Amino acid sequence: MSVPANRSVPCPRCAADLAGGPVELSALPQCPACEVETRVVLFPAFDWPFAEAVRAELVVLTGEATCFYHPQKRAHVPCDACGRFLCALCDLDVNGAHLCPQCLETGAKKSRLPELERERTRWDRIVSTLLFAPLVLCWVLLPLTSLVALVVIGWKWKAPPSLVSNTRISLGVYAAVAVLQFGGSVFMWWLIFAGPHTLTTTVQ
Amino acid sequence: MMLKKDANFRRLKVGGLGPLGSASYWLAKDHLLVVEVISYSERYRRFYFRDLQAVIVQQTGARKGWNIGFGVALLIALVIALVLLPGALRGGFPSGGDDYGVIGIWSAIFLVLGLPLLVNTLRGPTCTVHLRTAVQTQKLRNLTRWRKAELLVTELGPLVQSAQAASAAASVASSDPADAATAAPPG
Ligand SMILES: [Zn+2]
Ligand SMILES: [Zn+2]
Ligand SMILES: [Zn+2]
Repeated sequence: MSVPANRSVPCPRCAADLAGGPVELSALPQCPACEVETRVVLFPAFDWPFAEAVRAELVVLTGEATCFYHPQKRAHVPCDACGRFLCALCDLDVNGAHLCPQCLETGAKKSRLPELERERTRWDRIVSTLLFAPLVLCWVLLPLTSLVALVVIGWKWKAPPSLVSNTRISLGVYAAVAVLQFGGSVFMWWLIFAGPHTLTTTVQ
Repeated sequence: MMLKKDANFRRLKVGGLGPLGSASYWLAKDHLLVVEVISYSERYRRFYFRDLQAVIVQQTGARKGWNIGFGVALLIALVIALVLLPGALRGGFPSGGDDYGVIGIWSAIFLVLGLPLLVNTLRGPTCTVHLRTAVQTQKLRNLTRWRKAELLVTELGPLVQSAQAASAAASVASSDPADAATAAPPG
């Protein structure tokens, strides 16, 4: 019925089984193979069998409600989002809510479930590269890159911000920098290409 | 909302900047959230307390390696200084403005090489930390000091223990009626 717990713990360094030696895992001083100092802190779940394997065994009896996705499996709970009946395998527990795989996927896509979000783009870092890389690499492009930076700031102002640093403040500061850069670089362009030329023509 | 303003999250004093980016560690009600900022994205890894099977901490040679590197550089600088300084300070020990400049430059060199050596030594042994669940073993980023690993275990341990005790109790309670239903004949 249940899959027994997997009790082997590979050494992160040499991949030998840390549980393979004579010493109890929780009292291990070092890897028995590569002899590097190692500590393993075990929690009760280490000894638990695969819970899903146990629960999925429950087979439907005649007349019982069945899973929407698995007609031969007994319904366990309804999905909290769409109400479809779910078996133990399809019941995905997200912060105490029961969701079916499909609702979980749409929820993750629309970022309505912050618990499921895996990644956010750091637009503030992209903008800072747009602003500061050309200063070193190719400053003649500054009028263009600062304009692109401004467009990106406006376009991504409401994008999901960083969870660890204040994206709004950095984007605000970068907007000011971009405006200065644009003004300054356009003025420099004018000085270099148009300025001296007009100056000489007026002198002559 | 930023995590540091969110009452549901508490920041752990582990992680920080690394060669490839930064990582911060946050405790929520039922999971550990690791936020990794690498180039243009921010990645979130969640380790639910009820799923954690083990923390594996293993010593590495990084501290020794850095110390050997800085130590050798310091030694070389010292030898060069001993050879050059008597010649540079012509009129005996500091006798003019130039001499103070020479001493200043050498002090800066010793500081740049010696300070990392000192900090690296004081921060204690280096290590790697892996978190194991039933389905994967994940290395924790920018968590490379033994002392920090111990801090993580101290903070995480009791939360994981209590979450798993509650989860074990719940599964015993829920499995009883289910077993009774499968065992009972229909009708
Ligand atoms: Zn090993
Ligand atoms: Zn659903
Ligand atoms: Zn199902």
